[in-house]
Amino acid sequence: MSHLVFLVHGMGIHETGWESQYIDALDAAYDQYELLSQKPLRERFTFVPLSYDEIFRELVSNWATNAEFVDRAATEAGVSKTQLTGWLKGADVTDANFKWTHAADVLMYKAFSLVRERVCQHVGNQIVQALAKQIQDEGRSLWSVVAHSLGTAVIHDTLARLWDSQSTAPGHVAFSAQNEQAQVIAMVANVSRLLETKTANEPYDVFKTAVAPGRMAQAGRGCLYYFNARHRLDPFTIPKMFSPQMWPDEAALLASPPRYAHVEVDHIHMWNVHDFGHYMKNPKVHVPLLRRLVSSLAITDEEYAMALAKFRTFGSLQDEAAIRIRQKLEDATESQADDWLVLGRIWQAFTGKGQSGGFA
Amino acid sequence: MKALRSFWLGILLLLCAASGAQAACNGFDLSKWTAQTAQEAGLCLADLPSSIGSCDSAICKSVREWQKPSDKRPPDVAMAPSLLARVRADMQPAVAAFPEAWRVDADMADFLLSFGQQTAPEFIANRKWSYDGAAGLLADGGGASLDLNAVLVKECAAGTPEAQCSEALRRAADVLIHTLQFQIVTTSLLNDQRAAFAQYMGELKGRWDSYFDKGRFQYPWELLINSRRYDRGGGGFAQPPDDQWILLHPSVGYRYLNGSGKKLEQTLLLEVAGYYRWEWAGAEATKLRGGSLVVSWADTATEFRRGIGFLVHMPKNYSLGLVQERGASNRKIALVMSLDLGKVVQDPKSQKASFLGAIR
Repeated sequence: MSHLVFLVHGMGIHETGWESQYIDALDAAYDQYELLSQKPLRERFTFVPLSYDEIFRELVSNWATNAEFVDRAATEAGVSKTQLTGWLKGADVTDANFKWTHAADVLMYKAFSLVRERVCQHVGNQIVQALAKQIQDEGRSLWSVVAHSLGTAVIHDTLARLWDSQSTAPGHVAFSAQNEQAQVIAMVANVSRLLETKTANEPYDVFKTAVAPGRMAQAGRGCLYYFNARHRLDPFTIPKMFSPQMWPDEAALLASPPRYAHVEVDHIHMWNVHDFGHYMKNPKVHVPLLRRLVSSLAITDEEYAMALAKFRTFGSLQDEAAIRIRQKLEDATESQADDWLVLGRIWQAFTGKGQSGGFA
Repeated sequence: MKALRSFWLGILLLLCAASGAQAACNGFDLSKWTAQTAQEAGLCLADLPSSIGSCDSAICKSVREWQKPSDKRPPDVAMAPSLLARVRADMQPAVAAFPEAWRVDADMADFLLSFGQQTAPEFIANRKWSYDGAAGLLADGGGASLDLNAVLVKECAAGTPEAQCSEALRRAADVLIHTLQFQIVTTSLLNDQRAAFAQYMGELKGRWDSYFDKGRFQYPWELLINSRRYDRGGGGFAQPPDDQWILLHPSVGYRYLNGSGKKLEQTLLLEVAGYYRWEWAGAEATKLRGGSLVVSWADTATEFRRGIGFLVHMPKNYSLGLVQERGASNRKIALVMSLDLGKVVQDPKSQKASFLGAIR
């Protein structure tokens, strides 16, 4: 049996095979450690991509095509009644259409509870079927999740539903937090709090759900380790930042290694500091993650210290260029008190000042 | 040249021998397992659960045969207590060699005593021993634990003989193998519940797909309104709605007016407001019914006509209705028919043909 690692992508278009850039980023970090890399990453883990992008694409594509169809029919009928749908035309264009390929994903996920529910069910079903098969084949399960950006919100909301103790679904007990714990839930550029919904109808407060670390088979704790990584200049992670104090409890924080780990980094190797690969380059991110995925003994303290010493904060960038990027990113920074509606402004700043694309 | 080749060959052999001396923990003949450092030993233990499926000891084979009978029957739950007792008995030499493992043994004994009187899933979760590779911790749901990494760090400290480190690794691995067998059996006790939930999730996915793919197409504003109205109705993954509101929904239809050459002419329709409902039967929506108030526009060969009326929504996304038209000539009642655009946009040219086919 191999350790299943579910990969969850962020916003934007993700074609078949999108997971390879995530695995490559992990692999590049993994291969730096001699003893660990004696067993290749792809042998140690089985990566399972969890895709949900197609749900957004299908909706947008239908809207765009309908709008065009109505427009054509209206012309034929000799009327001009297309104000309602005119703005939807061209929504399915995927090149340089950030508004519809990235921003709309978040908007649809947050604003339409029906879309959110379908996305969570779609992702949850993939997890449940994969775990049921793993247990059927191997007798037990061993799994983790690595999520990025919008994927952190999606996986939180999905697992909160899976581990909801109020669920009355048949056989749910086999997938309760107590019975089906993940090894690690790794959140990179975590926006789960920014996009959380905590209403009576959908009571999934990120600090109160079972998507929290605890000891083996602890009630209401769905994973053994929760790893959170954010870049200080990543503008998406600042509003309603996921940065709890004394969470989930003292025992979890005192465990060795701590069951909840929060890492902040500030290296700048490129404009898009939100990129998954950019995060993974930093030993402060990948070492604690790999230690939790494999073993706390897998990378020695000496190896870690050496990796930190070798790591250049500005990578191959000249200091001047890095400082310029830093200044621009700081200008785009919003307040922690802001809510998800501020994302539009961030996107504008991010795409206006930097290169487009790269939002994995 | 030959001497140079021999030199490099020698170097290569030395390197292979050196790496072989670092750690040997392939296969399940524990007597051949060796390690020099805690890091090597920790990695050996961390990888053990992934390869437990190839364990070829007698007890591993017994558990595997129980878990996956050759005739593809589910595991015989009635046999579980005697199998668990055999696992425990087989573990006794390991416990004797590794006194710290008494906790695991005592807990297994207690589990066997209680088993049969209490087989509730919560009980199984609480008493199920499992391995946390990150911490090197064998632990049960009740909080009892055995820190294997601590043993390895102590026994493999710098300066200690290799034999001591290897022996510690072998003892820890032996206990771990037996604990994993115990876990495989207890995990299988929830097979029925697991299968029921996996099936439930599969059906639920079918319903959500049906709601979005086969239900009536929704424009963004309709999706927003229906999302606002959506009542999840409980915890966990929710069912899709069984109704939807229709609002300001433009579509293309055909009108039939007695006396206008008795032919179908294209018309632009706007469903001002409407309601649609159905019942779920498995993943299929049945008993679909609903209606909308509709406004129509048509540019005929002789005049421009505007109408107001109603549409009755029928199964298969077809709608039929009447509108009272006004134009340059007298008021007339026209029969209007429409297809839900969202379902035919893939092939708009065939809309009329398929529509005509459907109403014949």
